[in-house]
Amino acid sequence: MKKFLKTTAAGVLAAGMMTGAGQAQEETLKVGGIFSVSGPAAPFGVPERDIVKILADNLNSEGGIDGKKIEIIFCDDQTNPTESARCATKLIRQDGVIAIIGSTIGTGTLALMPVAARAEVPVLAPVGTISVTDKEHAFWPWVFRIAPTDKVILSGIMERGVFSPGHKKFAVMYQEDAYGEAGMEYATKLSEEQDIEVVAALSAPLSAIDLTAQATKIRNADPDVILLQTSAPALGAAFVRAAKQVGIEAPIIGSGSLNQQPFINAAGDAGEGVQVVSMGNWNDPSDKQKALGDVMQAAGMEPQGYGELLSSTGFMALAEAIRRVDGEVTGAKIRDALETICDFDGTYIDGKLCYSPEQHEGVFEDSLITVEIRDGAFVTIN
Amino acid sequence: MFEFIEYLTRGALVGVTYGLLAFPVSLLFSTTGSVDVALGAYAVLAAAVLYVIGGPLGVIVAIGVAVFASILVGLISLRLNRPGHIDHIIAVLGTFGLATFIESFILTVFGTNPMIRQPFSTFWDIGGIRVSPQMGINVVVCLAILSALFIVLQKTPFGRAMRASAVNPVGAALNGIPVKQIWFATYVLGGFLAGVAGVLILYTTGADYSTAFNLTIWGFGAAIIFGMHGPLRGFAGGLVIGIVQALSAGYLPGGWATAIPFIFIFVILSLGRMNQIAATGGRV
Repeated sequence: MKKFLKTTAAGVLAAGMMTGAGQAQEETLKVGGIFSVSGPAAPFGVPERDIVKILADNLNSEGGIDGKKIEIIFCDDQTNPTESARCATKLIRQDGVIAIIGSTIGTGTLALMPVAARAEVPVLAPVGTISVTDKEHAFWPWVFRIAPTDKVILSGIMERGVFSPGHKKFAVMYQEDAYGEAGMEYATKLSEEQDIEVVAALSAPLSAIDLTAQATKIRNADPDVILLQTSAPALGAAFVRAAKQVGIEAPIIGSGSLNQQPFINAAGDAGEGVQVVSMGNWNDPSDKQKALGDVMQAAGMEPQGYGELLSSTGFMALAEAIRRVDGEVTGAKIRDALETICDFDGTYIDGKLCYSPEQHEGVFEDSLITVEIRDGAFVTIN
Repeated sequence: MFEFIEYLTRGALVGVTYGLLAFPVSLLFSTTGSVDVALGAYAVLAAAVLYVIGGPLGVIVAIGVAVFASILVGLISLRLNRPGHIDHIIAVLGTFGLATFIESFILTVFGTNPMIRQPFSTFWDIGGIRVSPQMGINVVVCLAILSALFIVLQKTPFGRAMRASAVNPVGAALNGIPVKQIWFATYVLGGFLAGVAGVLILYTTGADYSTAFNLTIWGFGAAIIFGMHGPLRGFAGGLVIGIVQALSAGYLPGGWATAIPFIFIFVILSLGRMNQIAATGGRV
């Protein structure tokens, strides 16, 4: 009899839990957020996480999407691709998320994608790494980029900094890793297509602190313009200081990640006149960016850089896709809905977001701006 | 030809800082037979402290903090090794642990941003080569410290005791020389020199939390080139490392420019230059 009672009680409890879970699922859509909140990419990952949380809270307090609340479940991948894949497994299997925003890093996204694709969970990836949206990947149908690719940024840099001004001799200084080398190779290819001579291509490891020898070699090659392809403010600043010391007069144009205050601080006087092609400028924000800043300030946060723009784009795209889904919201339906989003300007970036069944890149050159350091601040130029 | 001379000059000027870091490496090695891997971390710690505080007070506090860190390492090393009961690997691993700790400490307290101060915005023109006046200050400071160190080692009782402890620690102890205290003082002197190097680095190239280990490597490389007989050779080694780096960057393609200085150190090590320490008494 005791055993019967125990079994019945357990059965009732389990049934109750299942009903509860069923009700919660009707009202709440679970979304995973995989960001590098610790480790080297934390300066990007922390603001990415914060803005997603703020936007979800705001949306829920306004009643959600057609009465459905969004619950974001975060997982820190520690800037480690193995952890990114583990986070995806945990979020999908244990928490039952229907979509994921992340990872902060390209290698992390590549690692988590097979897990997400198997479970038919779409991923909105805030990364520029070119290979993430390579159609040869079996997971391609499930990945949607929410950042400009390195190719888009480099095309923008070359068009604005080299081709339009009519320069003929071009030099590149790049960091010694996959990002730097891929950028150097792509910029070199674009230059050759336009019959522009690459007079010097020099590199340095991320930890280098003195680049006067490299700057001397570039000065002696006499370029009309110099591309600074680095994501590290310290290395970028070390080069512009060295350029000033050895007497380089050619203009310097930098890649997107140098669009941050630590670069200006470390470059000092030598940074004056350096241009950076990027998304957004918190020193001189556009109207849409100002609106994002207001959202953050209302939640007690200060905008820090680039990360907020990317993951806010991911959240806004996801919310729009959910709005477009008829009936029950599943990962597969969100994926299909994402492919219908084009000419969409309901994000905080200046350009329009556009996906299609043929391309999942999303962010294009119309989202880029050129900024120049003037009097110790970034000024947006036309 | 002018280009070659410019690379030589720029390399030598950068090498001055490596030479300053080579002093403590060779001093410590010839006195205790051990290597303090945390030297680069003391330098970056000093740079970080000076970056925040600034001014003459900042310089004093920065060097003080580096000395304090080296006191900790000295105490730990003495605890691990006593004259007569020596395992250098344990002492090196101990300093490696502290170097990692200091690096994490700098990352947590001072953040990831690059740290640099640039007091000069005009440059000297030396025969067509534009050089920051800070380089001149670096050379003067290094030569002053080099001279002072030379006098201390060769002309003072402390220097004689230090040399005696290096050549024959047991014999020195039997003759009443406080070998343990001399070893400790060598660690602290290393911290002081690394602190001075950190101050110069902040005003020259700047640093961030991840720079520490590289500085140790270049300091170590500078110290071994001409054998670890004494700090004077370490200074010359620093200049050579700087010149090798500059010439590699100037004349070699892409990644080779970074690899060659490391290969250079490897070749020197494999030629057995370090073993010349045997000349100090065959103790090591």
